[in-house]
Amino acid sequence: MNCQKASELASRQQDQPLSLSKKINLKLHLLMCEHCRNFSKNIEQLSDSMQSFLSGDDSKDQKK
Amino acid sequence: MQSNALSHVESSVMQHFNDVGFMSQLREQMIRFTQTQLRDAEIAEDIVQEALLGAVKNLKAFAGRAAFRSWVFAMLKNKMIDHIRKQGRAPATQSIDAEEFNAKGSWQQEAKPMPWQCPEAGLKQEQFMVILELCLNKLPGNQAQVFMMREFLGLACAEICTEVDITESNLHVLLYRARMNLQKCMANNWLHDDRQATLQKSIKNNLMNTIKKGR
Repeated sequence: MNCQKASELASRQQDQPLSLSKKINLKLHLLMCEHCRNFSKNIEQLSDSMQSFLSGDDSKDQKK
Repeated sequence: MQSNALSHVESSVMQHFNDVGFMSQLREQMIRFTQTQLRDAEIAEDIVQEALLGAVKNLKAFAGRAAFRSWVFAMLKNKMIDHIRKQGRAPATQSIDAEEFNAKGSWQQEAKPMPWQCPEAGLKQEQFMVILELCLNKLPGNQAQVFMMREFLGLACAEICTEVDITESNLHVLLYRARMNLQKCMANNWLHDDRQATLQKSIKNNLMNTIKKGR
């Protein structure tokens, strides 16, 4: 799996569950690739921060 | 005693409404959020107005600005969803490009994602939302619209596809592009601040050293 594919899957995972094989492939790639790991964390934080903004929880987005 | 309780709640709400600076800022922010979904400025203003009215009608005591703001935004969210469900949307167009990657599908040097954490302070919610808004406004086409439907309004993929009239794979591409662009834009803005701070620090240190040496 290359970085382009991995980042696509990381994004898709925010919206729907991945199949088991895709999930494992993505995990393996993230283990090896710092850049994709950053990408994945950043888009997760994007989502979390929106949610904590809505719920008015100021502390939650500082956790990671 | 019930009237007393009510008047306490009323005064808690009015306290925020009377804060003109806070209210106009809040209103502006709400309108900008709404406009990611509805390009029509007039309708956006109407919906914001409705949300504010809704907040008044459903009186509740608010401890602080943050609590009041998230309450008003929850109202806004519902009004926006109502509107989207009533209206339906124009079809979307989107090209798939991936300038971030080389032919092998590896990150281009300048596109490599950086971690977001600012070393110590972290990023306060307020600042985060300011930068996010800035970056949302830069998104091409209807990326901002579908991103906000998904992440802010929390709509399911199937529903977004119906409302925006796109296929599911189209939606994933749009969301992917939106996240990629936001990711880049936000990293640039934070890193920029970060770099500036480091730069200022090193300039200051150099200056101090020069002064010390001079003595």
